[in-house]
Amino acid sequence: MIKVLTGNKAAANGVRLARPDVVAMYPITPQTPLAEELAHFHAEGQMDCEMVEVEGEHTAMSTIMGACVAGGRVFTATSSWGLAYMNEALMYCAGLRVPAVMVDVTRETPSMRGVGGGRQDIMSIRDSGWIQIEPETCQEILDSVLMAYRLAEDPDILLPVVVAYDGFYLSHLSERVDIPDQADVDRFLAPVKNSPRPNLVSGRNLHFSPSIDGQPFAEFRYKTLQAMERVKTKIEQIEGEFAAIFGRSYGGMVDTYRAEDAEIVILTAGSCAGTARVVIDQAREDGLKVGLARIRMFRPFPREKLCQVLDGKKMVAVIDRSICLGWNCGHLFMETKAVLSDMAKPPRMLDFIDGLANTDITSDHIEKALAVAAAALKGKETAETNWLIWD
Amino acid sequence: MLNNTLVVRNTNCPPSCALCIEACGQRAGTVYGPVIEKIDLPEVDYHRILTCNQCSQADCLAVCPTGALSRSAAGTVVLDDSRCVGCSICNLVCPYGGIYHKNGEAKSQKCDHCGDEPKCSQACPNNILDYKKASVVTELMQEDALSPGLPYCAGCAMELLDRQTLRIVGKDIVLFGAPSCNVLSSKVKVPYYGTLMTNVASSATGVSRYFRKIKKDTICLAIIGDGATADLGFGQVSAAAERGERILYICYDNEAYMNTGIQRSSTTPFGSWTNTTQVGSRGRGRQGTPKNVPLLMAFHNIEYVATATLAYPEDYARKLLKAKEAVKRGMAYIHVLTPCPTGWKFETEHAVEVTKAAVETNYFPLWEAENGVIRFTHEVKNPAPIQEFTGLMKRFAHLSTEEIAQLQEYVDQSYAQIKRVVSCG
Repeated sequence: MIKVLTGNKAAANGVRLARPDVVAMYPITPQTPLAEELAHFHAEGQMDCEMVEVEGEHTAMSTIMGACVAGGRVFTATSSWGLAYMNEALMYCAGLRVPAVMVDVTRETPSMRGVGGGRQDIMSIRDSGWIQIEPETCQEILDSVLMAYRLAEDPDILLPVVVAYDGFYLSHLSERVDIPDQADVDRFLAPVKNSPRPNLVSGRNLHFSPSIDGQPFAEFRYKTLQAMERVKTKIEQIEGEFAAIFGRSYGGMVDTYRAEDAEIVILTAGSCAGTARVVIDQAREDGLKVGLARIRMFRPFPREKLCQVLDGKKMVAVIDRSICLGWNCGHLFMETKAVLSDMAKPPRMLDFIDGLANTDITSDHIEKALAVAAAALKGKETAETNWLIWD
Repeated sequence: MLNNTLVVRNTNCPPSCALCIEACGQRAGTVYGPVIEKIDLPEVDYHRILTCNQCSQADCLAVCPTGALSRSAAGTVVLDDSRCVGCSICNLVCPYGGIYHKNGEAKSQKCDHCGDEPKCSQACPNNILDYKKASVVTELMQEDALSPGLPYCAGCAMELLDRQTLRIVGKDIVLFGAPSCNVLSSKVKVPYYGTLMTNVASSATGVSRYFRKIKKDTICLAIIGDGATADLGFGQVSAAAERGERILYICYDNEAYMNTGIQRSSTTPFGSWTNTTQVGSRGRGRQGTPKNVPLLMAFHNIEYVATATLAYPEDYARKLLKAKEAVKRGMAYIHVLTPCPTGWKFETEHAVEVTKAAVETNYFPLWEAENGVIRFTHEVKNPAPIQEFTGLMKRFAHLSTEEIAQLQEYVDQSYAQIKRVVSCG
């Protein structure tokens, strides 16, 4: 069914279609309309789940973790300080490999209140063990929520997944969204329905989070690391199955656009990729060989895939919506730079910080970044990290 | 087999008091006078009560040649007067002087618990004679789900609490524990969920909600210390109570963070030494009054709230049974005072005695709240001064007379507060 939906409502529809058993939500801007929409679905009898009206995000995360350990399918969503507040329980959830699914509607976290979009919050949990998917459109939000359940609950993975989409720029943006049929979603999620995993209703006296130290602990961490690596192939397979049923796919871990023969690649994530596509089309008309690499999965980081995409490129212009204090750059830049040592002929890289706290990443800004990158390629001396918000 | 027992507290009676003996002499059907005796040794200030122990392996029973001695259904050793020939062999073999001739009659006599309602215990104004219906506990006991040994300090009351709780609540549970002395993972034959210090109530909420979704009645049982309950977990405990989550939450209160080496919590009492409320030229132990968590929980109007101690196991057993019923409808909370010999600094054999003193000084009153009504389950007739509690341990050893008086005042205030709520209820 085609509808015009905001990103939050698209996410809510994805959650509804996934038929979770327990949902625990605490409202926070810009996630609030998602919490309200799920409450609406629940009140209208469209969701047969336990809806836990919690007093905070720490409890929201603890509750869904509990329900997931018990054997249920679960959901919560948060943003910014809420993500920070649930951090203890969130790390515990990933540490125990509990396949919960969460939405983070990304927002700034430093002081000065910062009720603005940005990707700073989600960066704070990048090494926690949560798989991170970052959609570009409202349709992709809905689809990513469904894929998140397939990924999290796969017996080969068993890791929690967060779908992190841009606060305001996606959460409050209305777009055409194709809401899948329940029967198709059930078919897509069938492989993980009651998939075998340790839980509290197995009839066995299992102990969760036993106190283990030393070698057994290290072994558990080693296996967690291996599971995270398996995500890289698993996501391709799941996307293939998704495409077969719904006719849509998003390129796995890295979505590319006109990148094959490009000399300059704009590398970014989230909603501003759409703007970049427009700029790229224009630049192509002007004869500039430029393309797009959109990091769709930030954890695990698409190391191998990026090597392929960036192979033979001359320049990577990164557009970052968060800053990595202590590295004088943004997070996408820092992580992509770590991939360069895997490459025989690594491209040059420049970073462009933009879009903090609801400042727009405009087509002008991206054009400017492209111009700076092109000039640098021709030998102009350029700072490594640039802020597009300044003239 | 455990019997119903007349517990005689190992403490001095007032030298001139003989109310129990008088009551015993007036009991129904008495022929030969009282069967309870008092030993008075004023020169060493020793005034104690002596009566039959109702031994579980009673020598008197074994040696009686006429079958006059037998054991009743309640476990009491009873004497059939018509079959007693007064041979007094039983008198000779009893090491405790619990069965004897009296008044020159050629018959033996002994305590029979007045047919399960001992007059002496009812008459005692000092809580020294206490009739325990241990059958209340033993009849409820199910299989012990815990491993034979549990890693606690010598004399710790926790093992007793764990075993009694699990044997009464049963095995259809998920047991929750937080980082503490009481981590029971791999030591218990039931599903176990180890949580963070902060999120016991929320984790149990999640499990309980999923169980509700799939229509499963398994009880979510949390046995959690005062730190994770009263301090950093309190917000989530309160929120779970407000939502009426179906959790049976037992707080074992040892009045400090004992697992990490005795640091103050918000239930540490006034004046108590801990490693973070030290005693020195400026420090005088913990200042201010502790948080009354059970009372706060009662004010949440949840299904069931109670305080309990292991000195009154039958009282605790009854409360557990009520909680087990209540948790089908919503949250049940029991706050159990659990002395820590290591942290409170007392000899390892005294945990139960210390707990009893806490009750008898009104330091830890026993009450329960059901349907918005709070009532005492064990009223102390003449509460002992707080020194009878503080004197049993070294954590209060530095307190001056004035500080003891201050602590007494806090205890009295706290008791008066509960009393007001009880009378209003």
